Amino acid sequence: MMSKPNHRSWVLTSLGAAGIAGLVFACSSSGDRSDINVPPGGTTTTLSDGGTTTTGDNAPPAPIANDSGTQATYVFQPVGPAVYVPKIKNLVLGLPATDDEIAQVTKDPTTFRALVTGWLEQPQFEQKMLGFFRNAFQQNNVSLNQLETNTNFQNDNWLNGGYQAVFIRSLEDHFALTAWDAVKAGTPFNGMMTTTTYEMTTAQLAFLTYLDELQVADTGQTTNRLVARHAIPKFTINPGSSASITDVLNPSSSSYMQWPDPVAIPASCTSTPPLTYDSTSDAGSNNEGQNYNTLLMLIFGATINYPPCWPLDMNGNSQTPATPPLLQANDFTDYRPVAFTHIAKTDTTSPAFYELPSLRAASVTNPVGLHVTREGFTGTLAFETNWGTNITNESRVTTNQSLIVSIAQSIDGENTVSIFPPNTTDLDHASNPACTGCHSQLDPIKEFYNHSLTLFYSDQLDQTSLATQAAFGIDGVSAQGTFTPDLFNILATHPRFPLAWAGKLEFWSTSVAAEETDPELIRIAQAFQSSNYNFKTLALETFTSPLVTFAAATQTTTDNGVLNTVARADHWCAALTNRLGVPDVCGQITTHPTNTQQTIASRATLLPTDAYFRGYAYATLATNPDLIFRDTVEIICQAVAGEVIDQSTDAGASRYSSTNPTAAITDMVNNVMDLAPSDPRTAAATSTLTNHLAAAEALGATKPQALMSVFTLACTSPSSVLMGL
Amino acid sequence: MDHAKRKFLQATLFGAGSVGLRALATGLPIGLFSKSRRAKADVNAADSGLVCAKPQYLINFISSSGDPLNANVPGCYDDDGIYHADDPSMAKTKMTVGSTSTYGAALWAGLTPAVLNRTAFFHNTSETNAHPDLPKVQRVQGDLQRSEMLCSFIAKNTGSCLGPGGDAGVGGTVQPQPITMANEIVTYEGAVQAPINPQNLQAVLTGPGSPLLQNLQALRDSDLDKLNALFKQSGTASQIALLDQYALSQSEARSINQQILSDLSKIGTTGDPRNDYNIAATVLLKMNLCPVVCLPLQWGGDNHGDPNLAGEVAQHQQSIAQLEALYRALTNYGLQDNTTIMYQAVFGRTLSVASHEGDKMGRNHNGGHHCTVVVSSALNAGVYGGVALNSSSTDYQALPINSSTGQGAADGDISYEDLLPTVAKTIAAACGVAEAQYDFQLTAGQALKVALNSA
Repeated sequence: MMSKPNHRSWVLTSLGAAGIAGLVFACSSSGDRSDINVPPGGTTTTLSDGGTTTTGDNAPPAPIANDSGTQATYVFQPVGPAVYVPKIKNLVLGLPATDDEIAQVTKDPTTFRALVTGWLEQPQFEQKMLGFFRNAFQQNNVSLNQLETNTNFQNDNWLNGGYQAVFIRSLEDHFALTAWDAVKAGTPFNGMMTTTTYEMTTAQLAFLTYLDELQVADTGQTTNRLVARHAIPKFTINPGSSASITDVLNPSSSSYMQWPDPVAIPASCTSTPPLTYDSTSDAGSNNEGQNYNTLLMLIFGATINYPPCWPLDMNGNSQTPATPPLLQANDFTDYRPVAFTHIAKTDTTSPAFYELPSLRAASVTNPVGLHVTREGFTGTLAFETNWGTNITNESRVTTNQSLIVSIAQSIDGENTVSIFPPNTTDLDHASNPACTGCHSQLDPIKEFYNHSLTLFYSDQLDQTSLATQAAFGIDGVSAQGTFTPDLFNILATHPRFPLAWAGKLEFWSTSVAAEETDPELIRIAQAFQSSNYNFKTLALETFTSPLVTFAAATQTTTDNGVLNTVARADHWCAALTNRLGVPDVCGQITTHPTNTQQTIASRATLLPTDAYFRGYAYATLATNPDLIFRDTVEIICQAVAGEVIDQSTDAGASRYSSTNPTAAITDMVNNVMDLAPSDPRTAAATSTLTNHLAAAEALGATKPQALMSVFTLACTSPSSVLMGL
Repeated sequence: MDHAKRKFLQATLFGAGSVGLRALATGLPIGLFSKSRRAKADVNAADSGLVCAKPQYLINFISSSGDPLNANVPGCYDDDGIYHADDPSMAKTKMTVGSTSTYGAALWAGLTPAVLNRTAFFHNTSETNAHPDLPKVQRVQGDLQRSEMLCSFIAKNTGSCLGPGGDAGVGGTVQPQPITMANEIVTYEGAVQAPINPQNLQAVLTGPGSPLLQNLQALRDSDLDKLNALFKQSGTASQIALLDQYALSQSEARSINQQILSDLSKIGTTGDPRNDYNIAATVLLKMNLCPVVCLPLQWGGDNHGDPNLAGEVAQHQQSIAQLEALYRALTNYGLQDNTTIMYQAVFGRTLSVASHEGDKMGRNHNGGHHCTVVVSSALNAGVYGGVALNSSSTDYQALPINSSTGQGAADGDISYEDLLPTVAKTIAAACGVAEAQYDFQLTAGQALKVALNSA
């Protein structure tokens, strides 16, 4: 039963009170604050551009006390359409604004919303949002090793090495694609908390259905359901077979369970397999489980031992050459929505992991039946890979990260959240006063997870866990329940949900968190909620908001000043990609990157990048350029220069030709430096680049080399690497 | 110990109004959000307190995993109720640390005299048992003003004193902020410092692959200055501040001593990532690039499940070897006398079998005990503080410390609650932070004078 606060006026009772208390404290002090941005011991430095600066942050100008001297605010300097139109278009699409677009908004600022609305329909917006969703739903950073550890999967050699990158990519991408489906369809975005339909590939389904057959208890003890029901009495793996999968799965066929293996048996090997796996003779033993494991390996192209032809080496490793999976290459990328249904423990996972045609046919109307609850963003292998738990942690990390994703709430024992009666707290150390805060809040919530899932993200069968009641109590919303779907329903309708997602998108745009009590942030959240959680409404309201444009003051800028920041790797790389027409410049999503992409991807890790942390409701990002940043952008720009100057490819002519430097420089100023032709700075920038070309040639550089240096200059220019100039 | 103040600072960091988070996110001092008058006073004190007396670089090993660093150090072998791995390297071994005759793991006893004679073991509590609390521990649980981290507080107070001319007040490191190679949150004046790794550091600092483009760098720098000036002409104050910082970053990048960069080429050649961290850290300090380098601490990790403590043993062996190698590398650079090495985990781990499911197959979190290990010429080697069973006899926790002897004692005048700030003050003092500064900025505890080497 769930109860909600009497009024959800967006002051969010306790949250609002806490925030206001902080502000009152800030405003109650008196005195001049004009000196507090200068770090102790800071030194004034003369810059090479003739200016001076003080070491430390690029802090905004000092706040000025008002007449009464009791409250200090920052002097706000709004920016106009010439600044915010390019900034927002860069954020949304990674493309430069045109003269017409800037002129239109300059003439009538109210047309900006229509302009942004149009941008939201462009394909580049999808790419930008997929990156946002991967991070916001905490689906990044997948490694097979960690996945195997967190699920207690006892086989680290089940997937052909040549397919690992694309499989991992699919694990990281599929929930973002699921979220994008909701964006496209305009369905309520809070459905991402509760959805049981995911964008899936056949390869993912094959692995997921196999994993579902392994019930791993909290203790780590595994019960193999395939073994328990002797799923396949006998099968062979036959390199000489050319049977189709349909025939292999057809009990009436002479090829039934005669699995082909595309491995090429050398002529010298006279004792050619097939290998026979007889679960009748192996029944109940570890060997039977290993038989199914071998079949999984065959499906995924892992090396299978053929001792008669390739004896094991001295370390016991197979010498059999790698062979393609029985899965087709397309099975790793054939995304489509697939519904999951939760089946009883006595039912059979359906389809089975080896029924490839059935897995390929899985869809919304032809669902997959699993024992493990797969619901919302936490129901993905990627989320499970990110947040392993253990017997002491007891799913607390899973629970807390779920709260962070859905309602931007981290429980660390210090937050102002309602205290749930600690009747379900653990006994281990919850009685310690230092721990009570966390446990009284978090432990009742974690029971939702412990009720549904074991510590290895398997279906829970332990009767004690199944008998434990779970409860939720944050910000005036109190509810009780049992399984994780109960929790997800609470989160989907929690009053913090729209505010949290308004804050997430605002932070993605600016790298600086808006105050949760800022009326402008609350307005965005209200609009999002009023639209029945239409994500494009959230996007429109956010990207046209002064919180992002800095076209007008907000409570956040009044209290904290304006903080312009460096471009994050995500935004900068997308801009270079989309503006230069070089696919995935930074190699961030390519599964088989080129050498240049690998180099750039490695260097880009030194730039501020979208990220999430354990226990933090908001990501924290470096906002200042430092010497590492400066060197990094220069190296990346030099690498990109080699990709766009005099580099014709099968895809077309080179972006820039050293035989036409004038056209190249014009494009670099407009595209790379983001200066529209009508921008008053364009002429001077063009002149600087043109003069650089001549000076470089005068120093002995060839024309291509000189143009590469020009590109590097444009690419490292302030308007390329700093936001909102 | 001002608990009310500590509670307030903890609450403001992540609680009411999230002012700490706002400070983190915006890169602005927390005082901007909550303590305007006090912040002004802080600056005044700081301005008058900067003294360049025997400054030390700091290599700060940190981890949010809560490694069992505390479990096998000297001071944890006197009570037979504390369990250790059966491996010979963890065997109870008599050893002398400074003037202290004690027992420790054979690994610690086997440190070379050059290192052991500068090693101080501070038994204390980090006052938490939660992984995400490493930033709070770094901020001395609210006892360090302005929400600064200890490593950054030290950096801020020593950076301008280090390097050529530092003692005359005309030197200073290239950048004042710490450089972190640990995948943990490190902030300087509230601004998060982006973590880097040795390979990327090597690649970036040793320059681009194109010699010709490198040759044109000076020309580009000059023209980039022109572009900076162009954008400043029409910039708002915040835009100009950012442009100034960008220009400064170029100046800093060009001031790096190119010759020493060749040392970075050794990274990745030894097959041991710990060596790479050592090389990167020592080169950064030799380059005088920053006053503090943060590195990942690995003494067994989050070892709830660690059969026979095998992982704990292996990582202890590797970390001891890394410490020895690091000290040798510092010695090769002549930095061994003005570099402090510090190990700080987010918390320690359980020491009693009863606290770990009754077996020795791992260790759980222990909010009551941690051991900060410091190697420094500015410290007297020794074991400071100690452990005893907690009131419920379920596990061990740190003892109060007798400030005159440095020994742990139930009636020690440095209370359990003041152990962490006391260790922080002592390390700040060892690194050369002026007494007036650390006494003003750290609002609790006292520098443990008996641990400070006045020579």
